[in-house]
Amino acid sequence: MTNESLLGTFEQLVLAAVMQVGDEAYPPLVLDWIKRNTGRDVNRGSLYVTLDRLEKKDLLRSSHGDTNAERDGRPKRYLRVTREGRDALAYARASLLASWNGLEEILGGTS
Amino acid sequence: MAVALLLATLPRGFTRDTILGDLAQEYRRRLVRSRLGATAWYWRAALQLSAAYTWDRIRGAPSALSQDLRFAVRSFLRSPAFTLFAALTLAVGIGATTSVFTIVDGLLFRPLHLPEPDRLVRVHVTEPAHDDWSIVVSGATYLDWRAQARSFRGLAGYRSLNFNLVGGQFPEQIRGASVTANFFDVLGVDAALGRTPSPTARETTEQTVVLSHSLWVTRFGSDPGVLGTTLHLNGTTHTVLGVMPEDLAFPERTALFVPSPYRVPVAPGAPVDRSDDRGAQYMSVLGRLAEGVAVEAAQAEMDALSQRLAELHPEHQAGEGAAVVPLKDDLVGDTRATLLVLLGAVGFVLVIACANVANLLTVRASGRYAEMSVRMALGAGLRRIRRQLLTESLVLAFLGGVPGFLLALWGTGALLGLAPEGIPRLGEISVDLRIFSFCALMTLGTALLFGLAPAVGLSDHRGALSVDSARGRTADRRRTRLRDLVVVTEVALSLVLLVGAGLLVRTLQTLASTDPGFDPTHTLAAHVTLPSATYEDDEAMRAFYDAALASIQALPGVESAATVLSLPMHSNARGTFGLSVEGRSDASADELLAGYQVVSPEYFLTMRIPVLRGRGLLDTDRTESELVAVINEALARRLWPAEDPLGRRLTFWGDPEDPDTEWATIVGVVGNTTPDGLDRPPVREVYLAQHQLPLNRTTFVARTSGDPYALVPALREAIGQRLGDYVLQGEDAVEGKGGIDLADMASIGLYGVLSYSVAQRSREIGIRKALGAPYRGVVTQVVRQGYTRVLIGLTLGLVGSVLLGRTMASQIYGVETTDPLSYLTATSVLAAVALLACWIPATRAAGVDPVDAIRDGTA
Repeated sequence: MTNESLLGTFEQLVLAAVMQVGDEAYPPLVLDWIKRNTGRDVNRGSLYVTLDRLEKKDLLRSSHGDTNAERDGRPKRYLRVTREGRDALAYARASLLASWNGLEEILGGTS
Repeated sequence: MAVALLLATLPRGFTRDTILGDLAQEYRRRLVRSRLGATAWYWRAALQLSAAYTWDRIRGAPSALSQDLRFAVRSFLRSPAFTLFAALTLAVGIGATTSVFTIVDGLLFRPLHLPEPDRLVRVHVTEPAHDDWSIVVSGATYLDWRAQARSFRGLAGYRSLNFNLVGGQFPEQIRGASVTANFFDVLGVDAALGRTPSPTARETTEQTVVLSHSLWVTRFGSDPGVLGTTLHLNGTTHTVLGVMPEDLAFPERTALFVPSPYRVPVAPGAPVDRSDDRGAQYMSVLGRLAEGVAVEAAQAEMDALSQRLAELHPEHQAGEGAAVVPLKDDLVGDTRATLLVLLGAVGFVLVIACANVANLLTVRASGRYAEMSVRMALGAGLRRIRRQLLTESLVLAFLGGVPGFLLALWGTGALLGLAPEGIPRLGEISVDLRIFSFCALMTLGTALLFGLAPAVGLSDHRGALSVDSARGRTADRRRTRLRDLVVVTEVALSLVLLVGAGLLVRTLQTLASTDPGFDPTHTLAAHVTLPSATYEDDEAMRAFYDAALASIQALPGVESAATVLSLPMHSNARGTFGLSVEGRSDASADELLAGYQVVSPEYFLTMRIPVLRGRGLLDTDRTESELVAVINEALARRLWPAEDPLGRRLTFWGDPEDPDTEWATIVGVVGNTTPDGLDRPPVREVYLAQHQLPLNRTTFVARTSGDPYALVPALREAIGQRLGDYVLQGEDAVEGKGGIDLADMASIGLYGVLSYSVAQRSREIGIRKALGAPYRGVVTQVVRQGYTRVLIGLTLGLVGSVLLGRTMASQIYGVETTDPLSYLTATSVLAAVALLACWIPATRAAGVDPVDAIRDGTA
């Protein structure tokens, strides 16, 4: 079942980015990915807050990663999109695509 | 630093750890490139993160807060009476106390804007033998003091005078002061612009003037070029020497300072050197104590000096003393005692307000145990409930605080408006935020503290047990006892405070309701000084006065109009002069001192001063007829204690030995009017007919049938000159204030507590009715039960009042500490309010359908 509340645009972006980065995903990499692929300079604070919120909604899960001296002995937070997360993303995509039906020509023409 | 910021703002736990780790990792990588860049990056990231998390937390909170708010508003709407009483109590408590504290603070406690104000004193002449204050000093006495007293670094003389300022856009009458050259030096204030006269300057050929800051701004548009120019004051040319600083407010309402050409200030009337005159007492003396000399030491020296002077000049100064009074005390003068008493009364208001709020909330709390217990049983945490109660208190605080602030603003304005002319330093007062905060904190703090009362004691009895006990409402003895206790305490406390307030108010009444000897209500006054250039002879002045009086009397709304030299209670230093009485060479110089007034015939009628013997002045007392005088009772008693003064003759200025002296025949005796302060004895006075002795300055007084203010424009027009006018006010208006508020406060609080407490019993009443009790029986019983508690409270209160009265003895004047009127009034007011407070909710509850009442539990 998909979450009844629609995902916000930024939430979609974050979820997608986590999936794109893959198994090694942890916040700085996600931030990098978004920056590189969308050209948006994302506020670091917003990213972390959004990650927390997605996790609270069970769309995202994080796990303890390795620590090292470079990180002052602090753990990495590995991120993985849950099944619900994937469903929510798919639903968001589907509803967006549905809403775009028939507009492709116009949108495509202008871009 | 940045890490500390993150630790403070980020939620504790795993997430925070990883974030710090991420940042540390990236920081190290950037460090390789540039240390500064890395640090800057770290800071930026830290700020972004803490801002985002803080904002997130705030956004997350409102759901709980708005829930609390909605709940608070609902709960207040459910008990509108409670809410109204509580908010009203808070508002009145904050508003009234702030107003009065502001005024008292402004008058008593704020420092003068003068250097070393503690060393500034005024020196008065006193007549201890007659308990008769004569606050003004003669020129010769001042010079003696100045020459001989060692306690002072300097003594200066000054006298308020009205000046006609001619030139510029319009001629204007301005209140100024004639001062001795050393006045500014003694005061310790230098000119802000230009200079003040040299302290040793005397008898210079050139007349000079120093402007006040406000005159400089209003009349000269703050033009620095005014220095060195000349002004025409009372027909004489004066060179502008300087402008005084803005914050100088001494002497009161002085727009310009004219250094006297003599060694003493100029007296009103013709500019004559009064350096050797011991009879004419007309000036005030300001002193600056020498280094290390205390007021007491100066007083001791002045006592000795006065004694010497009295021996030297027995004809004028026998029995005279001198009083050295700190300037600050002197400025506030007689009002000081009144103000302190008022402060005491208002302190009580604040205490009552706090006690009332506490009581109301406690009573309400006792009715809410059930609600709290149910909520806890349903799983609400103690913290959550406390937060809810705190929110309610804050809402209440807001409901009371905002109107309280408005009331404070309005009240201060109103009090200032009511204040009689002549209360010094009023102009410097405005609502003080510190004081408002203090009063607000006191009352709101009480509200917050007692608002939490329902949560107190909850922790120890959680769960089903307390819900159970809450259901059995009628049987809950503990609750009932708490309510009873609150009612008894409230009644007792209210009575104590009301009696205390009553005593203070009665004290104020004796201070203030002293009959001033005239009726100041519905009168309007305007001062005029005729420019001597235009009105150079008596005939011209008579013609002006006749014409102006005729046109004022013709104004619609004017009942009568008259002229007088200076109004009673508006002449702070009118002064007394020596007079001669035919055939009374035996009288001492002191006995022959009197003030004089020049009035038009309608004056006694207009001011409602009673003519006790003989007649007042008439239209027929004119130039060509016999010179007449009317004296007041005080003078009649002094000079002719056993004889009839009518027909006797006196003169102020004539030489009794000179056969050509024009004697004025006494044709009447009128009532005394209170001179400068209400607790001062009346001054002896002689009234002369304006037509026979026209002076170039006078005050028009009109008695109006309606609002005197409405006539100001018409009066201006009728006199045809730009004048300073003002409305006379009764002195009682200010003082009544404290008492009224206090009675209101006590009643509001008592009514709230009692009626709420009775209403709490509606469930029980319902059961009684359901069991068949008759309506009247129920009401009677509830009222009787409520009243028993009231009577216990009243008894305790009376005991407390007697104790309080004893401790207040020092603050009470002219009233016994067991003043029956205060006790009776307070007791009956409370008893009546209590009866209403029991009866109204009892009938309401008895009228309610029993089923509703039993189900509901509360009305």
